[in-house]
Amino acid sequence: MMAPSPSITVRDLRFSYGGPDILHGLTFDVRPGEVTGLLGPNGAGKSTLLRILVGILDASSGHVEVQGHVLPDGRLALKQTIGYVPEAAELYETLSALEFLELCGRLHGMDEDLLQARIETLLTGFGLFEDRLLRLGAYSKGMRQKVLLTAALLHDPSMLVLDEPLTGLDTDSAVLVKRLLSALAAQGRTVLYSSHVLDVVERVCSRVLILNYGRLIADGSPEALKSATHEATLEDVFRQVTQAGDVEPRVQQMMSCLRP
Amino acid sequence: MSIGAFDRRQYVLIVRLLRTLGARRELTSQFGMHGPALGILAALLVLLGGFPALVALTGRVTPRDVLMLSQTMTLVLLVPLLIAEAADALLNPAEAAVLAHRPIGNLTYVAAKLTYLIGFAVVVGLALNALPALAGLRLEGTSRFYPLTHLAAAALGAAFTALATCGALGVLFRMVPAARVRNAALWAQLLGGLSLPALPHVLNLIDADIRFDGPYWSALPVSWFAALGLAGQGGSALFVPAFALPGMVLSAGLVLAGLSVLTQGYMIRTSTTRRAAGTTTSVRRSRLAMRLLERLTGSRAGAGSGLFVMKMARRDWQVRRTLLQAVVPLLLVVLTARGGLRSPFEEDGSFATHLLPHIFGIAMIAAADALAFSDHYRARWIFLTVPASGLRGVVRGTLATLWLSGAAIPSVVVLIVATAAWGVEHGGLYAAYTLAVLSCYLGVFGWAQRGLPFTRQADAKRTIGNASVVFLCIILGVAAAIVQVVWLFRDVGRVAIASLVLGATAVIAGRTSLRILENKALSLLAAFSGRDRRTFTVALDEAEDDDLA
Repeated sequence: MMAPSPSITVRDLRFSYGGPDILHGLTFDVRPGEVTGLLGPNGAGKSTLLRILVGILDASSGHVEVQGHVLPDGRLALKQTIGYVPEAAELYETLSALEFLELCGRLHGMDEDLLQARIETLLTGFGLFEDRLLRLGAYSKGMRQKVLLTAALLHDPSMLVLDEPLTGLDTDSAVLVKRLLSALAAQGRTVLYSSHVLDVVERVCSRVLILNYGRLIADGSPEALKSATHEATLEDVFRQVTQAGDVEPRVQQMMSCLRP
Repeated sequence: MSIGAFDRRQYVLIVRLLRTLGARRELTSQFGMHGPALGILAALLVLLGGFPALVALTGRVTPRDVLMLSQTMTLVLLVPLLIAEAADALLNPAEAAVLAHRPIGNLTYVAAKLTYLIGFAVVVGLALNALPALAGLRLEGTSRFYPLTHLAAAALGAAFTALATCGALGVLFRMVPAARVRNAALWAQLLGGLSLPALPHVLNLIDADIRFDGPYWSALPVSWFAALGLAGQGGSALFVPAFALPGMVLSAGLVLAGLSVLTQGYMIRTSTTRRAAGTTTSVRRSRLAMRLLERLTGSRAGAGSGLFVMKMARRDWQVRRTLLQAVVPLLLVVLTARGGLRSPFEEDGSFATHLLPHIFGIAMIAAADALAFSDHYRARWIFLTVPASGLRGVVRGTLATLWLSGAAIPSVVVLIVATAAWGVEHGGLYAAYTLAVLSCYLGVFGWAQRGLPFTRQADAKRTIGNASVVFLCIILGVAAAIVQVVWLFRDVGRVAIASLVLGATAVIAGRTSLRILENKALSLLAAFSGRDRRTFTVALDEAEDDDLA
């Protein structure tokens, strides 16, 4: 059987915020129907890459095609088809969750009945329906994250781009999100998932991309990466390929500046 | 780049969203988003419109004069208001970040923002022109419909000014990095204001023969809208097409060019503003300031807080804007005053020299009043983790920084310049007097700060309050300067004694201010530690319009 055509095609992608390059010539494909994990140390360029892929940032050079839309020209059409959970939970604090979600759905041109039904179902699933009239400024971090996840799913996107989606979620909610992501991928949707929680990535993702200093340094399934590096866990793989040093001396150094 | 087609449904949604956010005080830094602040502003503008109305009531002017005066006043007052308003509305990265990944075309989003800004401008224009429009009925040659044509011209003039301001911002958006557009706009406004006093000198230099009724005035937008206000009325309009048309073409070009830039990649650039902003700091300068502040406050917490205030004040747009808008025009008036900065001890000493210490004092009070309000107020939680002794340090550090930056450093500069210009005795005494006056300003007004530094969301109502404080200080300053001219500076001994008395007053008042602020600090903290759990039972729009559903 032929593999489905990629939903994300990136060729020689470079990006800078005006200074030195943040991303250095990235090239990769992502196919639908799989949950692809995006890993990397802090400052590796993961969030920047995701923002380019959802059309919020323009690449400095290179070819980026997402869901058949070549960016940046096709970004408006692309935004109709993707759900994005950003790294920072920026929300209108004085709106209630219901109002915010209604706004999101209407901006996507959703039918009103469908919108209300989906809001009810998704908020109930996340255990937020009773709090839907509470202003977002009063929500806890986890509750805000659930609202962002709901907003990302509301218009039934064919691709999900999630930047640290489990931040602030309780155990039960985290399990729910992980199962949800697997189910969405099983339906043939593309899920791109950035996280620092490696054991979750190992369990949820069928493929992992590891970025370091804006370069793609590893690409493969967790099993293949473990096998290639002779490591037992994805965390060990990550530490090996990113050349993370031994933490013990750093712990000792930090402890030495504190009171014994 | 994708501009994106205009989507009417999304446009209506965003306009309603802005209205809702305004009604719920989410974006309080904008007058147009803050009903009470806009109400107060409008009331003040109505009163201000009394001036052209009084001119009209004298009956010695023509309707054209009144319209030109009203339109010019509207333009002069509206541009600074609009620059601040448009910068906050159009260049709000946090707001754009919420919507950046939604399928909203730049054109739709910018159109919604323009609608809001034009609405704000029209309110300002109508408020300022309400009284002159009514007073115009008394003028010879006006019909009973004159108020309507006058107000229509005012509204159109204001709307045009809003479009032109946004166009200019758009041009700046193309020329400077997104993170610096607000600063560039502020400086452009200040430089524009600064060029006005220089204009007569330039005209003198080129020996230009400028007449009030010259046809060249037709090239300016105020003439077009004044002519519009005269439609159907008696009296001739100053509208010479040969001059007006090039002006119109140029204006249209600016507006279209600016707006077209705004609609290209606008949301992307705005939402990445914060990320693109870089900062640097001089470690050596910080250490020196830290040592000075530690001496002044007697604690590390005070020094640390003072340094924090110093750095934030330089980087925070709200503080910088307040300070520059309050001080630069005043300073310019003083520096360009006739006679220059002659020694105040001389018989023919200039009034500007007498006023200078008070201008610095007003700057300091404006800064003190603005310090609590910041774009970065969400980081205020840090103060909730500070022990009581640390909070005392924050208060002391803030006052110490204000004194150091607002009193000590200007006085040292004055000492150097004045000593070089007027000799050691006069220069030294003038600098000592300046230091005493500035310390006194801080001591007397320092207690009135409206919060711990950078802990409150920018509030348009505060802008009016700040302007009132500055206005009060200007009255006090001018009164004090008059006393200096007619009595104090006639004798060196009097100045020396006055400096000592003012210095002692500053110490006593400063200690009292410090105590008041220290006692207030805990209640200021309590004000933002509570959470507002208000619920909204009414959805964003109770019912979507059927025609849009």
